[in-house]
Amino acid sequence: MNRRLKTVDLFKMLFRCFLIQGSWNFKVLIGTGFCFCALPITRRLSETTEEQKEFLYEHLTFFNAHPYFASWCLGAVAKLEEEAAADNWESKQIISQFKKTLTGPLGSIGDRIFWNGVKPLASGIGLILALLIGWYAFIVFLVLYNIPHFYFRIKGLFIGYKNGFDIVTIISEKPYRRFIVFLSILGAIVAGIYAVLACKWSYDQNHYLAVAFAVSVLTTLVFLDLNKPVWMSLVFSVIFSIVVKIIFFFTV
Amino acid sequence: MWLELLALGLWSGVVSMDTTAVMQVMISRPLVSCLITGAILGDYQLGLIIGIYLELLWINELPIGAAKFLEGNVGATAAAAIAVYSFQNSLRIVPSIVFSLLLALAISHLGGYLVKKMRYVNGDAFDKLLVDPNISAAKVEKLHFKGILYSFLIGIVIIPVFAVVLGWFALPLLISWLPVSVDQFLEPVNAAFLGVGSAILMFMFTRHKQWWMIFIGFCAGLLYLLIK
Repeated sequence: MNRRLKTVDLFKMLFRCFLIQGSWNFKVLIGTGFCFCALPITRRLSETTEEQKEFLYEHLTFFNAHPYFASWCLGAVAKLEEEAAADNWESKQIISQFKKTLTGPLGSIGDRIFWNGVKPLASGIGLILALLIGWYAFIVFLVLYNIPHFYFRIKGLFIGYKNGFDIVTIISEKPYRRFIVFLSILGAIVAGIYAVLACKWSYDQNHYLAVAFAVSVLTTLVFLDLNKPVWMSLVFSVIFSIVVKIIFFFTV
Repeated sequence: MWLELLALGLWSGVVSMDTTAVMQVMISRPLVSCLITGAILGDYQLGLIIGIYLELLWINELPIGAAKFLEGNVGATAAAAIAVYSFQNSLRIVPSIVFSLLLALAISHLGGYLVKKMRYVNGDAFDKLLVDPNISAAKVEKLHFKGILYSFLIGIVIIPVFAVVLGWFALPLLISWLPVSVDQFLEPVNAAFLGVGSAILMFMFTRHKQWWMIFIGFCAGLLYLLIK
């Protein structure tokens, strides 16, 4: 019997990738989610209940990666499981080891590209547009964010499936370094533009609000630089802003 | 009214799920979720304003690995609902916004606590599954969908409950006790939220030693204002 995955199985896995964090827990983090996403593999390849159980125990283990990049590992695992079934591997220990190896790089690249790059950048652009054109901004925000999101999720599964073990040579920050630098430069420019426009927006509501805004920005930057939590800088910013108002109230 | 609450409840569940469990297409970000919450309750502009104030407040709360994070998206969505209801019932915009923003902080802590509890419940279910002699693919799916359901329930319970209790009753009552003259002293709190968010965004990129790029952004912003 030809034990091969079909294209439909890959699409089922792709769909499931979007739910990978559904059963997030402190025991195996997204390990359960990974197993959930990999179920189309066992449904296609396992011939007996025992084989399926073995597959489940193999994948109900610790797994952590950036959720958008987990599909890279999933695709590669699909390929390896397929090879294991076709060639009747005696032990699939190497697949578990392979998953562990990918955990670090997949988390690191994803966090740098998305949580530290695309997300704040798209938010900054969305906010600038919200101040300038109003509610339409949310459409731009969602499009800007989700183009790379969907791209990496979809591409990852198919590249992983194509390359199997060789995915390890593809996954490194090096190919994305330029993209990450680009995101950080653009993000910094957007942060600067947003600060000016938000200050002007506050000024348009009432001129002392621009002063309160500036005081809050400076207070927060100092607190963040001192590694203090955001709530603390928020409390002090609120207090200082009210003080600014009181000063304006008695002097202007 | 009941239809409106039902729509709010369903939307809240979607927001809660999108935060982590399902899709993560960022419809749960305050900029989107507050706007839509406002639209559902009949005041999209106020929803958008709340979204603008809160969008950046939790942007550096990174849901990395096992790190504990605040449920800012749920907090912000609740804040938008509370602000709209409070304004409709008190007719005073400044205190409605300010108290809603402050309540968003408290609700985000509660949301974070519930998410943590949910993850422990998921962990217990995982332990039970592992020792189940009849473990199967269907049981893994059941466990997974239960996790998604819990996530949905967190949103559907927290947001409408706080919107009704605080937005309909508590806040309008509190605001009615406050003299109108106090409003002008509360107004700077909005600017403080905006300033804190702006600073957080800047700080995220200064970690990459991009101060000079932020300066270029300042200049570009000023140039735009001058041309405009």
